[in-house]
Amino acid sequence: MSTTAQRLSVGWVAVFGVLTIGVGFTALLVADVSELLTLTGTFLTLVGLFALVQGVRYTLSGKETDRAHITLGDPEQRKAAPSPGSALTDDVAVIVAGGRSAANRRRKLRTKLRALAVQSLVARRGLSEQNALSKVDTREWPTDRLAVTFLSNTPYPPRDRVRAVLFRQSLDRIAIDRTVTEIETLWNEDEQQQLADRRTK
Amino acid sequence: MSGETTSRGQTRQETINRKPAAASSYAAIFLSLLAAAVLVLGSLVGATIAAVGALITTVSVYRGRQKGVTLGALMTTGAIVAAGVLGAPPAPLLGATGCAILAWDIGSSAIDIGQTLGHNADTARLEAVRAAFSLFVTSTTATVGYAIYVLAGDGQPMTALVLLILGAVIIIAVYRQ
Amino acid sequence: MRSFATKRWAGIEGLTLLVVAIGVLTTSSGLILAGIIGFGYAAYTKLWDAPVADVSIDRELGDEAPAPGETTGVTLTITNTGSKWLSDLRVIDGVPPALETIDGPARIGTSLRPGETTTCHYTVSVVRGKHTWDSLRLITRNPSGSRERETVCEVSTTLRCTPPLHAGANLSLHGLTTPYSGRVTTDVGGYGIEFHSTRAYRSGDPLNRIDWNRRARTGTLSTLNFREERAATVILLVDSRKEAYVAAEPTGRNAVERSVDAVATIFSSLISNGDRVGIATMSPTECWIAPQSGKTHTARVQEALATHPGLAPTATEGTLYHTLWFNRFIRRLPADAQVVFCSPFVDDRPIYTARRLHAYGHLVTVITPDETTADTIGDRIAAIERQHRLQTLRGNGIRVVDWGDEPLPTAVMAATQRWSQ
Repeated sequence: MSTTAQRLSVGWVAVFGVLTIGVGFTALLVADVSELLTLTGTFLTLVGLFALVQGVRYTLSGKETDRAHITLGDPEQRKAAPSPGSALTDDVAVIVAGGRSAANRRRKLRTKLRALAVQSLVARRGLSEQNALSKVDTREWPTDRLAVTFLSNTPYPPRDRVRAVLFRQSLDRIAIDRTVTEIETLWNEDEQQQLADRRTK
Repeated sequence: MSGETTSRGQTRQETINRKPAAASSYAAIFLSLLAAAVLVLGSLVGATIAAVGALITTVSVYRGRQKGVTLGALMTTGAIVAAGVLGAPPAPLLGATGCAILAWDIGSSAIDIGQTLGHNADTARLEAVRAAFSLFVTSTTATVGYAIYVLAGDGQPMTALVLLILGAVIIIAVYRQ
Repeated sequence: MRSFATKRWAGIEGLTLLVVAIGVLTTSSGLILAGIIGFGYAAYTKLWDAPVADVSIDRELGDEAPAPGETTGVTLTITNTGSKWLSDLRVIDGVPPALETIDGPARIGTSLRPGETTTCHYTVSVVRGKHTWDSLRLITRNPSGSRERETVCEVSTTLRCTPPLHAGANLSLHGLTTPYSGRVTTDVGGYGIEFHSTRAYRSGDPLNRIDWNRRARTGTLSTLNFREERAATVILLVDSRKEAYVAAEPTGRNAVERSVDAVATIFSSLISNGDRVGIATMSPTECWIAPQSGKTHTARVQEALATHPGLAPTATEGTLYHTLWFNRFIRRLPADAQVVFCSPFVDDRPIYTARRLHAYGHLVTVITPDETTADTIGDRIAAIERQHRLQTLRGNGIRVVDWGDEPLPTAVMAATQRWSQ
C-alpha cells in the first residue's frame, strides 16, 4: 500500500481532485468559463450516481465501526474486596447458565458439597465418617428430593423437570440451594439444641 | 481503631455519576429543536420529521445513549433531504444542517464527557472550548456555502457545483485510504 | 502513548456524499450547499493530531497525616508547560486503592493554552495506612475529537494515617492471654504479691518492702522478698494473604483491616499489663516485630500497624510460600510465646498454621473476624465451611473468638465464658 508508485498515483489523483475543485470555483465566479464548460444532464447524473454509490459505501462501512476509547475505571472508588463466597457464587451462575465449563464446575461443586455434608454430619450429628458417607450414599440423608438427587448425581425426577420447564426455573439452582439449606439445618438445629441444653443446665 | 465502635465501617456504594454533562446537553437539545424550527421555513413535511429527530435526540441525550443521538441526527438529516427534494430554498436547509450537525457534535460530546469525567466534574471550560470550535467550523462552512449560492445566483450554478463535488469526492476517496 | 483514531466521526463523508448525490440527482442546489458543511466537517476531523500533554502537575493534600475516619482535601494544580494549546484535556487522578473519594470525582475536563493553569479539588475519606498517589492519566484530543492520546504523568504524594493506640483499651481482654502460660510464677524473689523469703536490709531497698513487724520485734531491718512474676510473651499474628482480604460488603472494611484493629486493641491492652508483645504477619511482605515492652517499642508497633505494607488496607500482589514462611516464623518465635492469630478463616491454610503452632506447644488463641453473609448461595456455602473450620480448631483445643459485628471486647468476653465452662 505504501509503495512509491502507489503513493505517486494517489498523489496524482489528489491533484486531479484539487484541480477539479479549482475549475469549479472559477466556473462559479467567472460566467465565461462556466459557459465554456456547460455540462450535459447525463454527466450531471453520472456524477450524482458516482457520489451516491460512494456515499452508500462509506456510510455502510461507517455504520460498522465501533468507537475506540480508553477505559478509565473508577479510581475514586475503594478497591472492592470479594465476599468469602464470591467465587462459589460465580460457579453457580456458570452452572445455571450452562457455559462451556459448566459440567466441570458442577462436578467440582458437587464434590465440595458432598464433602461438606459428610463433614457436617460427622461434626454435628456425631456420626463416624463411614456412617456419614453411607448415609449420603444410600440417599438416607438429606430428605429433600432435589438435594439428594444433586448430591448423588442422578437425573432429576421427571415431574421436577416438567415443572422446571413450565416455570422456566433452573433445577440445578434449586437443587444446590436446597442442598445448602439442608447442610445449614444441620448446623442450626445443633446450635438450637446446644442453646436448649445450656438453658436446662 | 478502637474495638468499641462498630467494627465494620459504613459503606458507600456510589460510583461516579456518569450522566451527560449538563450545559452541553441543554445546548444539544436546543440546537436539535432549532433545526426543526428553521426547517419550518423550508418545508412543513421536513420540519415534522426533524421534530421527531429532535425528540429522539432529546431523549437520548437525557438517557446518555450515544447511538440514540446519532439516530436523532440521521432523522434530522433525512428531514433536510426530504425538504430539499420537496424544493426548499437553500437558506433554511443550510441553517438546519448547521444546527443538526452542531446538535450531534455537542450532544455526543456531552455523553462522552459524562462517561469519562462524570456529571459532577468541572468540565465547563472543556465544553465551552469544544462548542466554540464546532460553532466556528459550522458558521464558516455555512457562510462559504451561502456565499457560493449568492455568487452563483445567475450563472450556471449546477455546473460549477458539480465540478466542486466531483473534486470533493475524489479527495475524500484519496484521503480515506 | 501514541494517538489513535476515536472513529467518532465515522460515516460523516458517506452521509455527506449521500445528501449531495440526492441533491445532484434531484437538482436541489440547497442540498448540495448543505453538503459543503458536511465536507467542511470531514476536513475538520482530519485537521491536527491529539497533542501530547506537556504539563506539570502539583498535588497537594489538605492534611498529610489525618486520623482515620477523617476526610482530607486534595488539590491538583495543572499547568500547560508545552507550546501547544491543549484544547481538550481530561485529567483523571489515580486515587490510592484503599481511599474513597467522597466529594467530586477526582477528574477535570479543561482547555489550557500554553502557560495556563487550572486547579481541581476533591475530598477523600481516610482509612488507616500509608497511601501513595502515583500517576495521573491525561487524555488529550484534537478539537474535533477524532483523535485521542493518553499520557501518564507520575506525581508521587504520600498520605500517612496512623491511628492512636488506646492504652488499656479494655480490661475485659484479660482473658485472651492466660496466666498458665507465659505469665508464670518463678522461683526468683523480688517484686510481686506472694511471699517468698526475707533477707538482710541493704541500703536502697524500697520502704514498702521492709519487714516492719520484724523491726518492731527485734529492732533489725530486713527486706521482704516476693515471688516474681514473669510477664507473658505474646505474638499477635495477622493473616494478610490475598485470600484474607474478604469483606461482607464489597467496599466495606475487610477482614484484614478488622484484624489490624483487633491487634491494635489487644496490643495496647497487653502492653499496659506489662506483657511483652510482638507483631507478625502471614503475608508475602512479611512484618516481624519481636516481643518487647516499653515506649519505643509501642511507638514502633503503632507505626508498623499503620503503614507496614504487609498490613496494607487492600490486597497486594505476591505469593506466600507457606512452608518457608512457617519455618522462619517458628524459628523466630520465643519458646514460651503465646500466639494470638487473627484470620477470617475463609480457606484451610490458617487451620494448618494454627494447628502446627499448637503442636509446637504454643498457646494459640484465634480471633476471627466473621465476614460471611447469607446473601448469595456461595456466601452461604462459605459460611458453613468457616463454621466447620472453627469447630475443627476448637476440637484441637485451640481457643476461638468468633468476632461478628459486635465490639471486640464483647466477642472476647463471650468466648472466654465458653472456655471457662
